[in-house]
Amino acid sequence: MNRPHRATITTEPAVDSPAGETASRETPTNTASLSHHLETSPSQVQAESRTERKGRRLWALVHPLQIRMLSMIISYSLIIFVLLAIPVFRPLMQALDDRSLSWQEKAVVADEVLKLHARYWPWAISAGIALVIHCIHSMQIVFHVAGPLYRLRSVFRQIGQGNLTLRTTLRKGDLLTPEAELVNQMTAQLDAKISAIKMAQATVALDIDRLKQAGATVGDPTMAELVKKTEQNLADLKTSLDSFKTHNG
Amino acid sequence: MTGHYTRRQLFVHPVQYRFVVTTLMYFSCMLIALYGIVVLPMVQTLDDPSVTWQERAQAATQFLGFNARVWPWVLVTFLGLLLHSMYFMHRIAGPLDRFHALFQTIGAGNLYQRAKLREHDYLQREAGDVNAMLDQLEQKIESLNVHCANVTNASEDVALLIQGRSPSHVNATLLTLEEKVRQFNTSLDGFRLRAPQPPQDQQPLDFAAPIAMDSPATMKAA
Repeated sequence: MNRPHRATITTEPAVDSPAGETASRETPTNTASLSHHLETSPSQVQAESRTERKGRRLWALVHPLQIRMLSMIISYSLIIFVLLAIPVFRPLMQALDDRSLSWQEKAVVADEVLKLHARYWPWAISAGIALVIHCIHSMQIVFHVAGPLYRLRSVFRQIGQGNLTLRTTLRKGDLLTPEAELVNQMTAQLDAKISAIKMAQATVALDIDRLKQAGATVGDPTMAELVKKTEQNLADLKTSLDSFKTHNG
Repeated sequence: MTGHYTRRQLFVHPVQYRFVVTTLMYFSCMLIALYGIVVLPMVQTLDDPSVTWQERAQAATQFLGFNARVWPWVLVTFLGLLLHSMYFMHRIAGPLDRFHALFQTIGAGNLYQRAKLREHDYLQREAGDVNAMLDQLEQKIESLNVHCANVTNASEDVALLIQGRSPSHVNATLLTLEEKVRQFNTSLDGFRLRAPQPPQDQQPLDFAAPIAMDSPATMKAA
Protein backbone atom coordinates (compact mmCIF):
# COMPACT_ATOMS: atom_id res chain seq x y z
CA MET A 1 0.00 0.00 0.00
CA ASN A 2 1.35 3.44 -0.84
CA ARG A 3 1.86 6.02 1.82
CA PRO A 4 -1.01 8.50 2.01
CA HIS A 5 -0.44 12.01 0.70
CA ARG A 6 -0.57 14.60 3.40
CA ALA A 7 -2.10 18.01 3.41
CA THR A 8 0.75 19.14 5.59
CA ILE A 9 4.41 18.52 5.96
CA THR A 10 5.40 16.14 8.71
CA THR A 11 8.81 15.57 10.13
CA GLU A 12 8.37 11.85 10.63
CA PRO A 13 7.34 9.33 8.02
CA ALA A 14 3.62 8.74 7.96
CA VAL A 15 2.06 5.63 9.38
CA ASP A 16 0.75 3.32 6.74
CA SER A 17 -2.70 2.81 8.17
CA PRO A 18 -4.75 5.94 7.55
CA ALA A 19 -7.50 4.97 9.96
CA GLY A 20 -5.14 4.47 12.82
CA GLU A 21 -3.64 7.92 12.67
CA THR A 22 -4.19 10.63 15.18
CA ALA A 23 -3.98 14.09 13.81
CA SER A 24 -2.88 15.71 17.01
CA ARG A 25 0.39 13.90 17.43
CA GLU A 26 1.86 15.37 14.30
CA THR A 27 4.58 17.95 14.41
CA PRO A 28 4.18 21.66 13.55
CA THR A 29 3.54 22.43 9.94
CA ASN A 30 3.38 25.24 7.48
CA THR A 31 -0.10 26.17 6.34
CA ALA A 32 1.19 28.68 3.82
CA SER A 33 2.55 25.95 1.60
CA LEU A 34 -0.53 23.78 1.97
CA SER A 35 -2.00 24.19 -1.47
CA HIS A 36 1.39 23.68 -3.05
CA HIS A 37 1.96 20.43 -1.23
CA LEU A 38 -1.45 19.10 -2.04
CA GLU A 39 -0.36 18.96 -5.66
CA THR A 40 3.10 17.52 -5.13
CA SER A 41 4.15 13.93 -4.83
CA PRO A 42 4.98 12.42 -1.42
CA SER A 43 8.67 12.29 -2.29
CA GLN A 44 8.67 16.00 -3.13
CA VAL A 45 6.85 16.76 0.10
CA GLN A 46 9.42 14.83 2.10
CA ALA A 47 12.30 16.50 0.30
CA GLU A 48 10.90 19.96 0.92
CA SER A 49 9.95 19.22 4.49
CA ARG A 50 13.58 19.55 5.53
CA THR A 51 13.85 23.06 4.13
CA GLU A 52 10.44 24.53 4.93
CA ARG A 53 9.87 23.16 8.39
CA LYS A 54 11.28 26.29 10.00
CA GLY A 55 8.71 28.50 8.27
CA ARG A 56 5.85 27.52 10.53
CA ARG A 57 3.12 30.13 10.58
CA LEU A 58 2.63 31.28 14.13
CA TRP A 59 0.25 34.12 13.56
CA ALA A 60 -2.04 34.86 10.67
CA LEU A 61 -5.55 35.87 9.85
CA VAL A 62 -6.87 32.88 7.97
CA HIS A 63 -10.54 33.05 8.92
CA PRO A 64 -13.12 35.84 9.47
CA LEU A 65 -13.85 34.18 12.78
CA GLN A 66 -10.63 35.67 14.16
CA ILE A 67 -11.71 39.23 13.37
CA ARG A 68 -15.11 38.60 14.88
CA MET A 69 -13.58 37.21 18.06
CA LEU A 70 -11.17 40.13 18.40
CA SER A 71 -13.88 42.74 17.89
CA MET A 72 -16.11 40.88 20.34
CA ILE A 73 -13.49 40.88 23.10
CA ILE A 74 -12.68 44.55 22.61
CA SER A 75 -16.36 45.51 22.66
CA TYR A 76 -16.87 43.38 25.80
CA SER A 77 -14.07 45.17 27.58
CA LEU A 78 -15.31 48.61 26.51
CA ILE A 79 -18.75 47.72 27.82
CA ILE A 80 -17.19 46.71 31.15
CA PHE A 81 -15.20 49.95 31.41
CA VAL A 82 -18.19 52.13 30.62
CA LEU A 83 -20.66 50.21 32.75
CA LEU A 84 -18.31 50.27 35.74
CA ALA A 85 -17.52 53.95 35.34
CA ILE A 86 -21.25 54.84 35.44
CA PRO A 87 -22.04 53.58 38.99
CA VAL A 88 -18.67 54.71 40.31
CA PHE A 89 -18.69 58.31 39.09
CA ARG A 90 -22.34 59.13 38.42
CA PRO A 91 -23.45 59.89 42.04
CA LEU A 92 -20.43 62.12 42.59
CA MET A 93 -21.02 63.97 39.32
CA GLN A 94 -24.67 64.44 40.25
CA ALA A 95 -23.59 65.86 43.63
CA LEU A 96 -21.28 68.33 41.88
CA ASP A 97 -24.19 69.52 39.74
CA ASP A 98 -26.52 69.81 42.73
CA ARG A 99 -27.27 73.54 43.30
CA SER A 100 -28.54 72.98 46.83
CA LEU A 101 -25.07 71.94 48.06
CA SER A 102 -22.70 74.55 49.48
CA TRP A 103 -19.30 75.09 47.92
CA GLN A 104 -17.63 73.44 50.94
CA GLU A 105 -19.71 70.32 50.40
CA LYS A 106 -18.98 70.46 46.67
CA ALA A 107 -15.27 70.74 47.46
CA VAL A 108 -15.49 67.55 49.56
CA VAL A 109 -17.28 65.78 46.69
CA ALA A 110 -14.71 67.07 44.17
CA ASP A 111 -11.97 65.77 46.46
CA GLU A 112 -13.72 62.38 46.45
CA VAL A 113 -13.94 62.43 42.64
CA LEU A 114 -10.23 63.17 42.40
CA LYS A 115 -9.40 60.39 44.86
CA LEU A 116 -11.57 57.94 42.95
CA HIS A 117 -9.99 59.06 39.69
CA ALA A 118 -6.59 58.42 41.15
CA ARG A 119 -7.71 54.89 42.00
CA TYR A 120 -9.96 54.17 38.99
CA TRP A 121 -7.47 54.91 36.23
CA PRO A 122 -4.72 52.64 37.54
CA TRP A 123 -7.38 49.95 37.57
CA ALA A 124 -8.44 50.90 34.04
CA ILE A 125 -4.81 50.67 32.89
CA SER A 126 -4.29 47.28 34.54
CA ALA A 127 -7.62 46.12 33.11
CA GLY A 128 -6.41 47.39 29.72
CA ILE A 129 -3.27 45.28 30.07
CA ALA A 130 -5.47 42.31 31.00
CA LEU A 131 -7.55 43.09 27.90
CA VAL A 132 -4.48 43.04 25.65
CA ILE A 133 -3.40 39.69 27.13
CA HIS A 134 -6.97 38.43 26.77
CA CYS A 135 -7.03 39.48 23.11
CA ILE A 136 -3.73 37.76 22.39
CA HIS A 137 -4.75 34.61 24.22
CA SER A 138 -8.20 34.48 22.62
CA MET A 139 -6.70 35.06 19.19
CA GLN A 140 -4.35 32.20 19.86
CA ILE A 141 -7.31 29.98 20.78
CA VAL A 142 -9.23 31.03 17.68
CA PHE A 143 -6.11 30.53 15.58
CA HIS A 144 -6.10 26.93 16.79
CA VAL A 145 -9.66 26.66 15.46
CA ALA A 146 -9.21 28.71 12.28
CA GLY A 147 -6.01 26.91 11.23
CA PRO A 148 -7.62 23.45 11.15
CA LEU A 149 -10.69 24.91 9.39
CA TYR A 150 -8.45 26.42 6.72
CA ARG A 151 -6.71 23.09 6.31
CA LEU A 152 -9.95 21.10 6.20
CA ARG A 153 -11.31 23.37 3.46
CA SER A 154 -8.33 22.52 1.25
CA VAL A 155 -8.82 18.83 2.00
CA PHE A 156 -12.53 19.05 1.04
CA ARG A 157 -11.60 20.59 -2.30
CA GLN A 158 -9.07 17.83 -2.96
CA ILE A 159 -11.50 15.07 -1.98
CA GLY A 160 -14.12 16.63 -4.27
CA GLN A 161 -11.61 16.35 -7.12
CA GLY A 162 -11.29 12.65 -6.33
CA ASN A 163 -8.06 12.57 -4.34
CA LEU A 164 -8.77 10.07 -1.58
CA THR A 165 -5.15 9.57 -0.57
CA LEU A 166 -5.04 12.79 1.44
CA ARG A 167 -4.96 12.74 5.21
CA THR A 168 -5.09 15.92 7.20
CA THR A 169 -2.73 16.48 10.10
CA LEU A 170 -2.93 19.28 12.61
CA ARG A 171 -0.32 21.22 14.54
CA LYS A 172 0.38 20.37 18.14
CA GLY A 173 -2.18 22.15 20.30
CA ASP A 174 -4.67 22.65 17.50
CA LEU A 175 -8.30 22.27 18.37
CA LEU A 176 -10.78 20.35 16.16
CA THR A 177 -8.71 17.17 16.42
CA PRO A 178 -11.87 14.99 16.56
CA GLU A 179 -13.14 16.65 13.36
CA ALA A 180 -9.81 16.11 11.58
CA GLU A 181 -9.81 12.48 12.67
CA LEU A 182 -13.37 12.09 11.41
CA VAL A 183 -12.45 13.60 8.04
CA ASN A 184 -9.49 11.20 7.83
CA GLN A 185 -11.76 8.30 8.76
CA MET A 186 -14.31 9.42 6.17
CA THR A 187 -11.62 9.68 3.47
CA ALA A 188 -10.26 6.26 4.41
CA GLN A 189 -13.77 4.76 4.14
CA LEU A 190 -14.36 6.38 0.75
CA ASP A 191 -10.91 5.22 -0.34
CA ALA A 192 -11.71 1.65 0.70
CA LYS A 193 -15.03 1.72 -1.19
CA ILE A 194 -13.51 3.11 -4.37
CA SER A 195 -10.57 0.69 -4.12
CA ALA A 196 -13.05 -2.19 -3.89
CA ILE A 197 -14.84 -0.89 -7.00
CA LYS A 198 -11.52 -0.57 -8.85
CA MET A 199 -10.66 -4.11 -7.84
CA ALA A 200 -14.04 -5.37 -9.06
CA GLN A 201 -13.56 -3.47 -12.33
CA ALA A 202 -10.16 -5.11 -12.83
CA THR A 203 -11.70 -8.55 -12.24
CA VAL A 204 -14.52 -7.86 -14.71
CA ALA A 205 -11.90 -6.70 -17.26
CA LEU A 206 -10.02 -9.97 -16.81
CA ASP A 207 -13.21 -12.00 -17.28
CA ILE A 208 -14.15 -10.07 -20.41
CA ASP A 209 -10.66 -10.77 -21.72
CA ARG A 210 -11.16 -14.46 -21.02
CA LEU A 211 -14.56 -14.36 -22.74
CA LYS A 212 -12.98 -12.63 -25.71
CA GLN A 213 -10.39 -15.40 -26.00
CA ALA A 214 -13.04 -18.10 -25.57
CA GLY A 215 -15.23 -16.37 -28.18
CA ALA A 216 -12.35 -16.31 -30.63
CA THR A 217 -12.29 -20.11 -30.59
CA VAL A 218 -16.01 -20.18 -31.48
CA GLY A 219 -15.52 -17.73 -34.36
CA ASP A 220 -18.87 -15.96 -34.02
CA PRO A 221 -18.56 -12.37 -35.40
CA THR A 222 -21.74 -11.13 -33.59
CA MET A 223 -20.40 -12.36 -30.29
CA ALA A 224 -17.01 -10.78 -30.97
CA GLU A 225 -18.79 -7.51 -31.73
CA LEU A 226 -20.80 -7.64 -28.48
CA VAL A 227 -17.75 -8.53 -26.40
CA LYS A 228 -15.91 -5.62 -27.99
CA LYS A 229 -18.80 -3.31 -27.05
CA THR A 230 -18.68 -4.58 -23.46
CA GLU A 231 -14.96 -4.01 -23.44
CA GLN A 232 -15.49 -0.45 -24.66
CA ASN A 233 -18.07 0.24 -21.96
CA LEU A 234 -15.71 -1.13 -19.37
CA ALA A 235 -12.95 1.14 -20.66
CA ASP A 236 -15.29 4.13 -20.20
CA LEU A 237 -16.04 2.93 -16.70
CA LYS A 238 -12.32 2.69 -15.98
CA THR A 239 -11.84 6.25 -17.19
CA SER A 240 -14.51 7.40 -14.75
CA LEU A 241 -12.94 5.37 -11.97
CA ASP A 242 -9.52 6.82 -12.70
CA SER A 243 -10.83 10.24 -11.73
CA PHE A 244 -10.53 8.88 -8.18
CA LYS A 245 -7.04 8.71 -6.78
CA THR A 246 -6.74 5.95 -4.20
CA HIS A 247 -3.89 4.24 -2.38
CA ASN A 248 -4.10 1.40 -4.87
CA GLY A 249 -3.69 3.72 -7.81
CA MET B 1 -27.15 25.82 3.00
CA THR B 2 -29.17 27.37 5.79
CA GLY B 3 -31.90 25.51 7.58
CA HIS B 4 -34.59 26.42 10.07
CA TYR B 5 -33.87 24.38 13.13
CA THR B 6 -32.84 25.15 16.67
CA ARG B 7 -30.61 23.25 19.02
CA ARG B 8 -31.47 23.10 22.70
CA GLN B 9 -28.23 21.63 24.06
CA LEU B 10 -26.06 24.27 25.71
CA PHE B 11 -22.65 22.64 25.24
CA VAL B 12 -22.07 20.57 22.14
CA HIS B 13 -18.31 20.99 21.62
CA PRO B 14 -15.21 21.17 23.86
CA VAL B 15 -14.29 24.50 22.20
CA GLN B 16 -17.18 26.08 24.10
CA TYR B 17 -15.81 25.02 27.49
CA ARG B 18 -12.41 26.38 26.63
CA PHE B 19 -13.77 29.71 25.49
CA VAL B 20 -16.10 30.15 28.48
CA VAL B 21 -13.28 29.27 30.91
CA THR B 22 -10.96 31.79 29.23
CA THR B 23 -13.59 34.53 29.29
CA LEU B 24 -14.38 33.86 32.96
CA MET B 25 -10.72 33.80 33.85
CA TYR B 26 -9.97 37.18 32.31
CA PHE B 27 -13.09 38.78 33.73
CA SER B 28 -12.08 37.50 37.14
CA CYS B 29 -8.64 39.05 36.65
CA MET B 30 -10.32 42.39 35.91
CA LEU B 31 -12.49 42.06 39.02
CA ILE B 32 -9.53 41.24 41.22
CA ALA B 33 -7.67 44.24 39.83
CA LEU B 34 -10.74 46.40 40.48
CA TYR B 35 -10.95 45.16 44.05
CA GLY B 36 -7.23 45.58 44.65
CA ILE B 37 -6.92 49.10 43.28
CA VAL B 38 -10.29 50.73 43.95
CA VAL B 39 -11.84 48.93 46.93
CA LEU B 40 -8.81 47.86 48.97
CA PRO B 41 -7.65 51.44 49.84
CA MET B 42 -11.11 52.09 51.34
CA VAL B 43 -10.84 48.97 53.51
CA GLN B 44 -7.28 49.85 54.57
CA THR B 45 -8.55 53.12 56.08
CA LEU B 46 -10.81 51.08 58.35
CA ASP B 47 -7.84 49.11 59.68
CA ASP B 48 -5.65 52.17 60.28
CA PRO B 49 -5.39 52.77 64.13
CA SER B 50 -4.36 56.40 63.63
CA VAL B 51 -7.68 57.29 61.99
CA THR B 52 -10.47 58.62 64.24
CA TRP B 53 -13.76 56.77 64.55
CA GLN B 54 -15.60 59.58 62.69
CA GLU B 55 -13.25 59.20 59.72
CA ARG B 56 -13.63 55.46 59.92
CA ALA B 57 -17.40 55.81 59.90
CA GLN B 58 -17.16 58.04 56.82
CA ALA B 59 -14.87 55.50 55.07
CA ALA B 60 -17.25 52.68 56.01
CA THR B 61 -20.22 54.62 54.59
CA GLN B 62 -18.25 55.25 51.41
CA PHE B 63 -17.31 51.59 51.17
CA LEU B 64 -20.90 50.45 51.67
CA GLY B 65 -22.19 53.00 49.16
CA PHE B 66 -19.59 51.91 46.62
CA ASN B 67 -20.45 48.25 47.15
CA ALA B 68 -24.16 48.95 46.74
CA ARG B 69 -23.51 50.84 43.50
CA VAL B 70 -20.89 48.68 41.82
CA TRP B 71 -21.61 45.03 42.49
CA PRO B 72 -25.12 44.83 40.97
CA TRP B 73 -23.70 46.42 37.80
CA VAL B 74 -20.75 44.08 37.79
CA LEU B 75 -22.93 41.01 38.18
CA VAL B 76 -25.45 42.05 35.51
CA THR B 77 -22.70 43.06 33.06
CA PHE B 78 -20.68 39.92 33.48
CA LEU B 79 -23.73 37.69 33.29
CA GLY B 80 -24.84 39.41 30.09
CA LEU B 81 -21.38 39.13 28.55
CA LEU B 82 -21.06 35.49 29.58
CA LEU B 83 -24.41 34.65 27.99
CA HIS B 84 -23.43 36.51 24.83
CA SER B 85 -20.08 34.75 24.61
CA MET B 86 -21.84 31.40 25.02
CA TYR B 87 -24.25 32.33 22.24
CA PHE B 88 -21.29 33.38 20.09
CA MET B 89 -19.50 30.09 20.64
CA HIS B 90 -22.70 28.18 19.94
CA ARG B 91 -22.66 29.60 16.43
CA ILE B 92 -19.30 27.88 15.94
CA ALA B 93 -19.88 24.73 17.96
CA GLY B 94 -23.30 24.05 16.37
CA PRO B 95 -21.94 23.75 12.81
CA LEU B 96 -19.02 21.66 14.09
CA ASP B 97 -21.50 19.30 15.70
CA ARG B 98 -23.42 19.00 12.44
CA PHE B 99 -20.21 18.39 10.47
CA HIS B 100 -19.35 15.66 12.96
CA ALA B 101 -22.54 13.77 12.10
CA LEU B 102 -22.20 14.53 8.39
CA PHE B 103 -18.66 13.13 8.07
CA GLN B 104 -19.80 9.85 9.59
CA THR B 105 -22.71 9.68 7.13
CA ILE B 106 -20.48 10.43 4.13
CA GLY B 107 -17.99 7.79 5.26
CA ALA B 108 -20.84 5.28 5.27
CA GLY B 109 -21.43 6.12 1.60
CA ASN B 110 -24.47 8.40 1.90
CA LEU B 111 -23.64 11.16 -0.55
CA TYR B 112 -27.14 12.64 -0.70
CA GLN B 113 -26.77 14.42 2.66
CA ARG B 114 -25.85 18.11 2.73
CA ALA B 115 -24.56 20.45 5.41
CA LYS B 116 -27.42 22.69 6.52
CA LEU B 117 -26.62 25.38 9.04
CA ARG B 118 -28.77 27.83 10.92
CA GLU B 119 -29.13 31.27 9.39
CA HIS B 120 -26.77 33.06 11.81
CA ASP B 121 -24.28 30.23 12.18
CA TYR B 122 -20.63 30.77 11.38
CA LEU B 123 -18.62 28.32 9.22
CA GLN B 124 -20.93 28.86 6.24
CA ARG B 125 -17.87 28.82 3.95
CA GLU B 126 -16.86 25.42 5.31
CA ALA B 127 -20.41 24.13 4.84
CA GLY B 128 -20.29 25.38 1.24
CA ASP B 129 -17.03 23.53 0.67
CA VAL B 130 -18.40 20.30 2.14
CA ASN B 131 -21.48 20.61 -0.06
CA ALA B 132 -19.35 21.32 -3.14
CA MET B 133 -17.28 18.25 -2.32
CA LEU B 134 -20.42 16.16 -2.00
CA ASP B 135 -21.77 17.52 -5.30
CA GLN B 136 -18.56 16.54 -7.07
CA LEU B 137 -18.46 13.08 -5.49
CA GLU B 138 -22.12 12.55 -6.30
CA GLN B 139 -21.49 13.52 -9.92
CA LYS B 140 -18.57 11.10 -10.18
CA ILE B 141 -20.54 8.23 -8.65
CA GLU B 142 -23.52 9.03 -10.89
CA SER B 143 -21.19 8.75 -13.89
CA LEU B 144 -19.90 5.42 -12.56
CA ASN B 145 -23.48 4.20 -12.20
CA VAL B 146 -24.24 5.09 -15.82
CA HIS B 147 -21.13 3.32 -17.11
CA CYS B 148 -21.82 0.35 -14.86
CA ALA B 149 -25.35 0.07 -16.29
CA ASN B 150 -23.86 0.13 -19.80
CA VAL B 151 -21.44 -2.66 -18.91
CA THR B 152 -24.23 -4.70 -17.34
CA ASN B 153 -26.47 -4.26 -20.40
CA ALA B 154 -23.67 -5.17 -22.78
CA SER B 155 -22.75 -8.28 -20.79
CA GLU B 156 -26.46 -9.29 -20.73
CA ASP B 157 -26.58 -8.92 -24.52
CA VAL B 158 -23.58 -11.24 -24.79
CA ALA B 159 -25.26 -13.69 -22.41
CA LEU B 160 -28.51 -13.65 -24.42
CA LEU B 161 -26.58 -14.36 -27.61
CA ILE B 162 -24.45 -17.25 -26.50
CA GLN B 163 -26.31 -18.85 -23.61
CA GLY B 164 -26.89 -22.54 -24.31
CA ARG B 165 -25.64 -22.28 -27.87
CA SER B 166 -21.91 -22.14 -27.27
CA PRO B 167 -19.37 -24.64 -25.99
CA SER B 168 -19.32 -25.29 -22.26
CA HIS B 169 -16.08 -23.39 -21.59
CA VAL B 170 -17.59 -20.22 -23.11
CA ASN B 171 -20.71 -20.64 -20.99
CA ALA B 172 -18.59 -21.13 -17.87
CA THR B 173 -16.63 -17.94 -18.63
CA LEU B 174 -19.91 -16.11 -19.19
CA LEU B 175 -21.27 -17.28 -15.84
CA THR B 176 -18.11 -16.06 -14.10
CA LEU B 177 -18.43 -12.72 -15.87
CA GLU B 178 -22.07 -12.37 -14.79
CA GLU B 179 -21.07 -13.11 -11.21
CA LYS B 180 -18.26 -10.54 -11.32
CA VAL B 181 -20.55 -7.90 -12.81
CA ARG B 182 -23.01 -8.61 -9.98
CA GLN B 183 -20.20 -8.17 -7.45
CA PHE B 184 -19.21 -4.93 -9.14
CA ASN B 185 -22.77 -3.64 -8.86
CA THR B 186 -22.80 -4.59 -5.19
CA SER B 187 -19.58 -2.63 -4.63
CA LEU B 188 -21.09 0.39 -6.33
CA ASP B 189 -24.24 0.08 -4.22
CA GLY B 190 -22.03 1.04 -1.25
CA PHE B 191 -22.67 4.62 -2.34
CA ARG B 192 -26.19 5.98 -1.97
CA LEU B 193 -27.10 9.03 -4.00
CA ARG B 194 -30.72 9.25 -2.87
CA ALA B 195 -32.31 9.12 0.55
CA PRO B 196 -33.93 5.74 1.18
CA GLN B 197 -37.72 5.86 0.69
CA PRO B 198 -39.79 5.26 3.80
CA PRO B 199 -41.83 2.05 3.85
CA GLN B 200 -45.05 2.12 1.82
CA ASP B 201 -47.32 2.23 4.88
CA GLN B 202 -45.43 5.25 6.29
CA GLN B 203 -45.53 7.38 3.13
CA PRO B 204 -47.75 10.47 3.34
CA LEU B 205 -50.86 10.47 1.24
CA ASP B 206 -50.63 12.87 -1.68
CA PHE B 207 -54.15 14.06 -2.39
CA ALA B 208 -53.00 16.76 -4.78
CA ALA B 209 -51.51 14.33 -7.28
CA PRO B 210 -54.00 13.07 -9.84
CA ILE B 211 -54.63 9.36 -9.69
CA ALA B 212 -53.40 7.79 -12.90
CA MET B 213 -55.56 4.90 -13.90
CA ASP B 214 -54.52 2.74 -16.76
CA SER B 215 -57.27 2.24 -19.24
CA PRO B 216 -58.39 -1.36 -19.76
CA ALA B 217 -57.02 -1.12 -23.31
CA THR B 218 -53.56 -0.12 -22.11
CA MET B 219 -53.59 -2.82 -19.48
CA LYS B 220 -54.60 -5.32 -22.08
CA ALA B 221 -51.85 -4.14 -24.41
CA ALA B 222 -49.36 -4.37 -21.57
